[in-house]
Amino acid sequence: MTVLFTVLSLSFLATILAGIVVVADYKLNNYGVCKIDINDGTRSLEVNGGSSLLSSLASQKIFIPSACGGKATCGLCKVTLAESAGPVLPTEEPYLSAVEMESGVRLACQVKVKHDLKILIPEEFFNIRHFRTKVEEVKQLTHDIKQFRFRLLEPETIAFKAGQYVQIDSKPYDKVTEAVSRAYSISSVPSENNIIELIIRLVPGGICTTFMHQHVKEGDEITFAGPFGDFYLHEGGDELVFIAGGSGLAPIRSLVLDILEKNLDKKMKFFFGAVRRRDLYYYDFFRELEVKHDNFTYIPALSGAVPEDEWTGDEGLITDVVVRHVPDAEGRQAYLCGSPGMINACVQVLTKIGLPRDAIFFDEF
Amino acid sequence: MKQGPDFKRIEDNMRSGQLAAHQFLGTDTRALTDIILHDQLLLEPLGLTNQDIADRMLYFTERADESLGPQVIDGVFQVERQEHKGDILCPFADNSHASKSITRVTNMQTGKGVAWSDLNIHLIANHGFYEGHGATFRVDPVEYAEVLEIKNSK
Repeated sequence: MTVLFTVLSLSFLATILAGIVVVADYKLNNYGVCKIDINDGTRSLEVNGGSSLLSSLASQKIFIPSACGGKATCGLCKVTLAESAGPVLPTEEPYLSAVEMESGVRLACQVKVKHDLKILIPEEFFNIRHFRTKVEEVKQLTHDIKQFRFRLLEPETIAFKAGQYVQIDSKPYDKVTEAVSRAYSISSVPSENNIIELIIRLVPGGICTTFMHQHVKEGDEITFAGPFGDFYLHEGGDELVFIAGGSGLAPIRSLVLDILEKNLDKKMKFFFGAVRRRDLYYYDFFRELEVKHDNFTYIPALSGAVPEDEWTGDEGLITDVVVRHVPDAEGRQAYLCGSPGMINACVQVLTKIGLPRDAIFFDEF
Repeated sequence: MKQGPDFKRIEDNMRSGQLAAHQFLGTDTRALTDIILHDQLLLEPLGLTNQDIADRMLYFTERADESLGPQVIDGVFQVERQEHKGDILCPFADNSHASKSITRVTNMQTGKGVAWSDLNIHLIANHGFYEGHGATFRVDPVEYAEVLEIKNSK
């Protein structure tokens, strides 16, 4: 009982203090109009002070990558402040290295615009747009993965590189009263520039994935911002090793289709790791690609196959399967998309066979 | 047990869909403090603490995290980790957050299985909170102690 009382008391006190700070900040501070200078005068914005830098920029159609909707749980919305805007908050620390903190990098969602700011952001952020779309098709791929096809309404086309992602905006539903935005990789090919396809796995309790899986239907209007990300094809590499698991298949599908469509002189091996046969999707699609294109090989592997799967393909952990099929690093690049655990294990295996770290590119969940 | 206005605010936050679509209290209509208190009373006859439960869950989580597929550990437990994108914030607003990934453990001797998200471990260790009845990630202390064969650490 003492432990319980202590826990409850401390939680109660912390909540009261946080409440006092928020109320005092709201009552006492009126920041007026603040100026945000971007990239040494490239752009200059005037915004009403008091909001986060992330939302202030978004209100002016400048979209910084953010997968958590400003809750400081993704660490993606990094910007560099040319002048200090106060100390780094404890919520930011886990996402910033010592070097980043020293050079003024902050999470835009945690910086409140209280006065004029000078910030530095990558030039490509200026190309990010907000799109209005219509859901054209929803397809169930596995028991917990769906594919969504969106027809772009406004703007009507998008320019993106294979491997990049967009941030879908959810809408309130059931007891969820706030909209959030979450990042999903594009699985379609860039040449089809009037649609995008996304592959979304249902996260139990996830606000946006629950919205997409249980509330979005064909014909609905959905908005997103994008494109974001630097997971795309890089120079070099005669043979490309693609490794994915779960919904990590999405950007790899886009990359493979783009390379085949452009007829690039590259050999490709695509390793897809799953537990059971039921977890494999796009199986026939990639098998057909393999038949049509000599330079593409598809290697699905199951780590927990049971007799009823009647599986005759590769078995074992995806790392072991990769080692069996990729004997050396000569002329190779690797592109990985999946969970941090899968990526870490694959990076270890690939570096062990001699692939240099700068020839391994990944998009982590 | 009477609860103050701030605990009521946390409870309202938990019942809403602000942090998670599944809501932390499920179909449980009791006050948050009553839910926590009741679970503490369940622990007492078992001779277990919140830390005992959280430590055991963390043990399995870390073992599952070491492998890319299902694996058997200690000869008795089949563990599997399902990794999901992103983190979720602690509803007690303590600035903590945890991965949305899920660990599943089956006791192969009894055939019984349980599952939890990484946030459950934090909620139990730091707030003595096992979520409400009917919640997607409710951790029933008695059931979990049995399936995970949790023993008193003293």
